[in-house]
Amino acid sequence: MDRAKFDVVIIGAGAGGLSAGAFLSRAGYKVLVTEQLPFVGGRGSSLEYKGFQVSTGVGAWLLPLKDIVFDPLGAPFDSLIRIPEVNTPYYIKGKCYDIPYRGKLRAALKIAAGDKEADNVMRALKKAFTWELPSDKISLRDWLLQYTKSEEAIGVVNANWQVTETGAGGTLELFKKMGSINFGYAINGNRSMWEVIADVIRANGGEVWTRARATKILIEDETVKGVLVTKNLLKKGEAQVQIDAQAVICNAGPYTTLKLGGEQNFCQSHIKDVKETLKTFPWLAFQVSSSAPILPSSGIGFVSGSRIINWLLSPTLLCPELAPKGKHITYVGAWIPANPPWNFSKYLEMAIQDVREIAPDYDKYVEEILHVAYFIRQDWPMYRSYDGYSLSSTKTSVINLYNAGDAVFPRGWSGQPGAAMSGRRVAEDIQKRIRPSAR
Amino acid sequence: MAVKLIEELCSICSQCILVCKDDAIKGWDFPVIDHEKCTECYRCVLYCPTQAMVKED
Repeated sequence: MDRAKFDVVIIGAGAGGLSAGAFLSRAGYKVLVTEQLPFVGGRGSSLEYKGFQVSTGVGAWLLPLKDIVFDPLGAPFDSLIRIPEVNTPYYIKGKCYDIPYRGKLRAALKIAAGDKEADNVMRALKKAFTWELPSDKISLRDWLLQYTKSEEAIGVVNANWQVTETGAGGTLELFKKMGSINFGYAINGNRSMWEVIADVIRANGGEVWTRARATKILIEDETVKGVLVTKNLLKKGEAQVQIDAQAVICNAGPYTTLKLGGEQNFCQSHIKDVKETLKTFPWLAFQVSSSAPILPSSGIGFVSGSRIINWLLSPTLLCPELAPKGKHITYVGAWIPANPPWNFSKYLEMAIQDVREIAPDYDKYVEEILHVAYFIRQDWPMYRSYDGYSLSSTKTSVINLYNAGDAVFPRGWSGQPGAAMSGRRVAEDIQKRIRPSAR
Repeated sequence: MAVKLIEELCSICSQCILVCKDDAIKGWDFPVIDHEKCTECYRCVLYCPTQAMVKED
């Protein structure tokens, strides 16, 4: 078997893995990122299909990524992203409201539920933010129900973020920290953004292997020693390689970390933490093509008062590069129940009906469903955990074996910025504890 | 060797449908493989993030 040596091996080229790899390679560590898929970016990426850049998951780019990852690495961001002027319009009962940035939540609550209910919710939020946040023992919905019985008001909050399964504390901390987050669209598709970060790793002497599947994390005396990798998957040169490393970061989820390392090598408390804490966040996202725009706004629409959908956006209104000439992509997202039994075809039908009510020209212009994804499993979910249910540490019980990504968000973080932040924190910890080998 | 789906591993992310060159995978639910059309290029196996698409022995 071939053998190679790196300072740090990272399993998975998602937001967490690539961010960790980029920060470490900039700091002088010899980094290898292994990715089983033929492309980088994971659920934050895109695939070309019939001339369209179809998202593999993420709807739009959260602008905090600029400060967290791209700027500190000296990587371009502004030139690759276009930002809608009215950033997050609300669709309330089928109608689009371009509400200005400041005081947006209150304004949306007023439109949907009236002044009194809006005041009730805003007062409750203010108390939580300035006095003490609730715990995660109740859902955000149950917390809200103490202050309002208005389903319209709760619907507005639910348009921002899932309320029935998320922990009240974790989600409110996210609202407090991120406030009204702004979004943008990647001009050349989501994948191009993560290629930029992969290039940072390569430019600093690191390597990013796609079609390379980690098959085992090597552990001795409760310390990580390296990774077995099958490279060139399904290609002529397919081969096993043993990679020796001082530290390993797994960006494929804590369950995969346990599987690859072998449960017998982990502390019982860590195994229990993973199995009893994480709560997979499933959702439905679909993308349709159309011969003309079907949405009234280029912003990232938050939808309330619908059957099932919560987010609605047309990136091609700002970035025609993402589709063949004259064509458009509309991306639709919906929370689906946390647990089976699921009725997938019914969810899709309900979601399309919701879009029809907002976009009266749906049947006139929509040509094809490009992609429908349900993200129901821990291996490829919306997020590996609902807010309030992520692991509190990026460290596993095995020395120098870390997790990164959306199961180990720092509290109050979420989405790609949260995953990237977890990777950055791991990189910082490794820099404190392990010296890079001389090169 | 034909391609087979292991439903318990499938997340229904539909990436297999996007990458199939033969237009042999259908369905906006668990994907269905049309073995008449499939030319066994294994792109779906390669692009499946949950290893639910496998080469059948």
